[in-house]
Order: sequence, then C-alpha cells, then structure tokens
Amino acid sequence: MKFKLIHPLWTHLPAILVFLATIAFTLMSLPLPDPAPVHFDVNGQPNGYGSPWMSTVILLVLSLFFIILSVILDELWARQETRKNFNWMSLFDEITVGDLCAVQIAYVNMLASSTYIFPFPWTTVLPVTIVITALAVALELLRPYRHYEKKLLVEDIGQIKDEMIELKQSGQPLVYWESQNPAYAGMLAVMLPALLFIVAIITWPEMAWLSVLMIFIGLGLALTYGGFRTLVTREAVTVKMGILGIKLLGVKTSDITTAEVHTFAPIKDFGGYGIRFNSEMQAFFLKGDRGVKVSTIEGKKYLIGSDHPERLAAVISAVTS
Amino acid sequence: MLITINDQDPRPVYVQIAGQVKEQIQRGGMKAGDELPSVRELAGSLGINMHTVRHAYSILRDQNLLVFRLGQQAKVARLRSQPAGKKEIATALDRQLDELLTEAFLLGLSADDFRTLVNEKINQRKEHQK
Repeated sequence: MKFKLIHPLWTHLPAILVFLATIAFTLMSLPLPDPAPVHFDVNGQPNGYGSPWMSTVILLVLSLFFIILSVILDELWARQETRKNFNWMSLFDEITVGDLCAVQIAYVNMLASSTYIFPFPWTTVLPVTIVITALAVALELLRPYRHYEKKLLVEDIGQIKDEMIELKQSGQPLVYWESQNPAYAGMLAVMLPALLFIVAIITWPEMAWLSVLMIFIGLGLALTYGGFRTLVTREAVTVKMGILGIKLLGVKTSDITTAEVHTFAPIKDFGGYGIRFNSEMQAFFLKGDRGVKVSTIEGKKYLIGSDHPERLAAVISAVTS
Repeated sequence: MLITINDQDPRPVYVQIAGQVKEQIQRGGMKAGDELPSVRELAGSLGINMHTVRHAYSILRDQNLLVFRLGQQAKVARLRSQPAGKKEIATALDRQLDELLTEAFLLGLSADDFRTLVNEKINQRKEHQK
C-alpha cells in the first residue's frame, strides 16, 4: 500500500530550503579555521576554543531532527482534523530551524572574517526566521484538508452489565487490563533519547557534565517506552508506565466511591497528553478524549484515559461495590 | 482484556486463560495489534505462577493468535482473512470434536440432542456479535 502524507511535505519547504542553504553555505566557506572559538560570553568575546565542526554538527543535526519531528507531528494532527484549522504547530520547524541555521550562517561568516567577536546575531536570525515563517504561514493556509470521520466505539452496555453481575457474584480472582501506547509516544521514547545520546557523544570532550545530564534524561525518556497500562484487580486499580512498569497510580478498590465515563478536551482541560493535573483531578492519558473518572473516599479524583471507557468503568464499579 | 480464574472449573488454569483470550479475540473485544499484559503482570495480578501464564501465551502463539518478540509486549496477531484448509481444521478440531462427542454420548445425549445443543450455542454467539 502506498503511503501518502495528508499534511504534504511541501509545507515544510521553507525550513528544508534554509537547512540545505546552510549546509551549502558552510561547505562553500571551507576550510574553517581549526581550532576556532566555539564558546562566547554575553558580550560575544570568545572564552572557549575547539573544533568548529562540533557546533556545526550539533546545529545541523538539531535542525534535521526538528524538521522530521515537525513532519510527524503535523501529519498526526492532519489525520485527526474534523474541520480545517490553522495548525500553529506547523510553524515549529520554521521557527526553530530558522533560528539554528541563521546562527550557523552568522557563525561561519564570523570565522571567515577572522574577527572573533560573536554577539547574538539578531540581524541574521530575525530576517531569516521572519521570512521563512511568513512563507510557512502562506503554505499552511494553502495546504489540502481531509475530513476525519470520528468513529466512536459504542460498547454494548447491556452485555457488559450482564458480565459484571456474574463477576460480582463469583468472587473469583480477576484481572482487567488495557493499554494506551500510541505510535507517537513510542517514537518519542526512541527518537529523543537517540538524539540526546548523539549530542552527548559530540559534547563529551568539551562539556562532560552536560553529556552526563543528557544521557540521564535520555535514559529516563527511553524508560517511558511502552506507554500507559491500566490494571484492575479485586484489590486495586493501578496505572503503570513504560518498560519497567513504573507505578503512576495505585488506588485500593475499597477507597473508590465512584467510577464514571468522562469525556474531556485534552488540550483545553489539561494542556496536552501524558501525566496531567488540573484544579479538579490528576489525569493519565496518551490519546483520545475519553476515560474513566475515579473518585475516592478522601475526595481525590483521577482520570484514566481509555479506549473502552464503558467497559473499564463497569469493571471498576463491579470490583468496588 | 478481562481474565478470571474459576476454581470450580475443572480445566487447568492455563487452558482457562487461553480460552478467555481466544474468546475475546473471536468476539472482537480484542483486535489485531492490541497488547496483552506481560507474563509477570498477569501472573502477579491473578496470584498464579508465571509459567502458567507463559504456557497459555505459548499455546496462543502456536495457534497464530498472538505474536511476541523479544523485549516487546505480546500482541494480538492479524486474524486470517480466509477460512482454514481441511487439513488444518482436521489437526485443530478433530481430536477435540471426538472427545466432545464421547462426553456427550456418555452423558446420555442423542445425536439430535447434540446437534440442537451445538446450534443453540452458535445462535447465542451470533446474538452476542450483533
């Protein structure tokens, strides 16, 4: 089956062209002086020397990463659009790549001029970023739109109720299990650590402490691989995360007062996905806009994201009553 | 995925687990790509030995209903798009059908009673899937 992007690649052209132009400009400016100033104080005076390739590679790898990340995130957004929206996140790669590439161009220019003073290059960064962002706004307005038909999985409540009555009466050991492990979470848990490890290797000779910090952050992110898992037994409702099954939530069934299906707006109500808080409750979800709101005798409220909220709510109600 | 262990059920625990997973796949409650709990998680939650769960998962994998690779959660496999061939049906069902018939006749059922019972079960399942 042929794979086709719904959010077309040409909407990322401003960022891609600036990225390619920066590579070309860098190659045309060869050879770069080596060693060269690679670190500057707030006044732009050099205070660290090394190979100019280290910062060049970091800036270019980061730029490429932001372009790829933007292509993926914009595609995920476009695939779930129920009406044509202006996706502000589509400007993410132009803003980041514009900044990074403009800094790289100004840096190479500075090396070529042999006057090693490098105040932050606003005069390069602002025009480059503003022009390519404006182009990206135009392309975002022109991009095609495909309507996403939201399919709501409506569970057979009657059948679930019958099963739950049986469950309540039996008193036998039981476990209900479901997971939320969307593709984007898996990709982030692999790609971000990979990028951090690459940058950590590059920065190791100059800033070992930063490399160690990046390795730790990368390992932490890699441990989230596997998403969220919800487990209901007669004793407790548990939400676990990642490869190691780190426990995010554990509520005894004897402490639960109610469990009800809840529909929410991920961005509006919680500001995104993951482990979230608002004034009313703590939430755990990686996708969708439905889940089960669990209230405890202490008055605490938790929202557990679910692909089968009717079923999950029925099971929790069965083991708590 | 919902799994219960019934102490009154004469079948071994691994057969009960494998049976319930199969039933949920067949009824559409679990779809291709859906993840299953890890062996450790399921065994710990049900208070049973890990080998029992592993045995159940192995049976399901041998029947091409589950896939699991090293370091990954077990997942429901893609279901066949075509009905199984005669040879495969014979391998999978012949012995079990023979045993079932023997049980039925020992319980005193006639061939017609047995047919009626099977038809009732098929109709029940169709009702559930509507």
